Amino acid sequence: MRYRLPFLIGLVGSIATACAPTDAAPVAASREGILPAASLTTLEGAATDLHAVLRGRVAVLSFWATWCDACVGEIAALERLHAQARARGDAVVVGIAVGEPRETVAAFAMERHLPYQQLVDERFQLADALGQQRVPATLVVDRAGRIVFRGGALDPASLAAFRSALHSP
Amino acid sequence: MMGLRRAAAAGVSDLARAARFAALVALFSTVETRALAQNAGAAGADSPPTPMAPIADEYVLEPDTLRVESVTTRITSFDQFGYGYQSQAGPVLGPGSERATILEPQLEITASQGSRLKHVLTVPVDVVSAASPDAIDNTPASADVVSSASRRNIAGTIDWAATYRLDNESDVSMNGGVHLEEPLRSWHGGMGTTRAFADGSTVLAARALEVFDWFDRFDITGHRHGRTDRSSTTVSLGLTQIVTPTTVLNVNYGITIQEGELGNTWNSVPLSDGTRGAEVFPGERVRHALVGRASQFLPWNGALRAYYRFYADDWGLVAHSIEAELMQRLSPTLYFGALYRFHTQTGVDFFTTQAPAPDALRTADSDLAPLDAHTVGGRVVLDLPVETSQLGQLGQGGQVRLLHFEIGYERYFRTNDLHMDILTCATGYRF
Amino acid sequence: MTARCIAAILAAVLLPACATVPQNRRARLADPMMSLTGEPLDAARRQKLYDTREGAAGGDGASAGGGCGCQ
Repeated sequence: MRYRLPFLIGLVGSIATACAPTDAAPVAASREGILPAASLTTLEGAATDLHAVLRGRVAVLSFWATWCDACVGEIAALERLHAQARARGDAVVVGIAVGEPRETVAAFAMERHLPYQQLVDERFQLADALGQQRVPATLVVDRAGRIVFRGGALDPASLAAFRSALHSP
Repeated sequence: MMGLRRAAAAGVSDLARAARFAALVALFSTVETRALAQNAGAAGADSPPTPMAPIADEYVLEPDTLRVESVTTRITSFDQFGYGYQSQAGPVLGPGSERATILEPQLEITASQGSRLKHVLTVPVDVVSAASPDAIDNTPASADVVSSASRRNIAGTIDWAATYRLDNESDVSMNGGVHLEEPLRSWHGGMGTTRAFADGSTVLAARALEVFDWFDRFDITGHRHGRTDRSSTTVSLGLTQIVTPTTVLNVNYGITIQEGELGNTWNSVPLSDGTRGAEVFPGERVRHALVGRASQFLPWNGALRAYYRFYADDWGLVAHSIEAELMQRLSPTLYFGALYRFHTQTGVDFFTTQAPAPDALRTADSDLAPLDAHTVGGRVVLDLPVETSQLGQLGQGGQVRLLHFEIGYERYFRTNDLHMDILTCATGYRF
Repeated sequence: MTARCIAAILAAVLLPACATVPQNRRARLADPMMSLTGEPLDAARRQKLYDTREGAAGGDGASAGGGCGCQ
């Protein structure tokens, strides 16, 4: 009888603290709004930096994974966006596959003939630095490398941010 | 004169020559102009682009039209052997044959409509030939069970379910449908909702479902006495929790309240006076079920799925069911699974193989008897990705991107003399 | 008292695992093998088999009874 109250307090305390939302991965601090430097891998296995890929262009970054049905579902839309961005010349669409081996992403990209550039963030370095914990996730980056939009799947809000960044100097 | 004609001829010849020369110059000029234009076009890819029209949502995003996402077909055969006291396909006081063959083709189509709405259409069909009901006939020539067992009953269901995503954390769903078979009509409708917490790590689900059956009332000699009905109302609550990146748990509680004619009116019960009588059921049944599920990804690229159900109702039946399936992935496209299930139940309070009193509650239905049941089986599943051309050029896609094949076998057997061989295979297309 | 101690220890050890798993780290959970209920048509035909050959049913979100003459 005398152990019942401490037992209940301990049990409730365990439940309350254990089931509280916690981040599974530490988020590295990045300067406010600036795309952080992060080493990513191309599908061919070469290390590259995202800034070197963007080269001062307005960019739509799509965080995705091959196991994510919603991500695969928006590939067609991203391909259409890539066609328009490529025709302009001052914009780019980049897919960033998170949490998977390069070989897995490369095989998937080859099967689908994905036309827009793919980079691999196998260890979530860039995703964690940006605090991105969902897939699909869409970021819009302006010419200065500032993140001007964060969202989920590609939607009218992300396209509006993309258009706004294109019109900005 | 000859000189003038020669001069004239020379002049004409000069003019013709000049005309030919001019034509050639014009021709070459045209060719050069085209070449210059082509060169200018090629050079344009590297030059600064001309301003483009604004990027339009309707060009990039999928339109809110109905888009089929998957089509799955499955066909299952059930070959049942057994005996039960409710069947008249045997001795008057003894168990009768429960021999039956069932062929069950199924179809499922899933479709999305925009980014928030999903539809699922399910059509299962049962083709049943059963010895027990076919042994009952009010024509004298039907006493031979063997010859009448070839008669077939066909039953089909159509169910449509729609789920609307309210926001990233919650959705609502509705479903409805109808079931048709020779002596019975059934309608069902339900609603449900889910709410996610902690970035989807925890999901609460609630559901309510109503089923109404309207069917012919046959007595145990096969005579029809109008129609009767029953209703089943179910409410369930569920909680799904992602525990680790490789573990997920689920707990679900459901309560079902049934009212009306709750038996198959042609089932019979051996009586102590040496005859057979009709089943007598209570007019209501309250059923409780608590289910726990777990899925665990195994380090060697396998998975273990476990299931437990505790069941109790106010007819006195208490049951425990436990099931485990161990799966092993052999390649990114192929895996197999081995299944075992054990079920034990106490039987309802009024189960009997010889009813003592004519007016008391009674049933000899072998499904409601005390029994243990085992299921052992295995399956092989193949998911083949299909190499596609650029989906963007196809607008909404529409090409198959994944082929799904599955084949499985199960053996079901009960301790009260019933066993079944089940063969199932499925084909699916993901778009 | 021993059973309660054990239960409290298990709760203190196991429940801290009940932490949020970021959605982009659920690759294993997306494997078809990890589905709690299996392929929907397969789950439906198995549920119907057990509902019509045994006295127990329910707890799966579906109706425990009714819906066909096989009940």
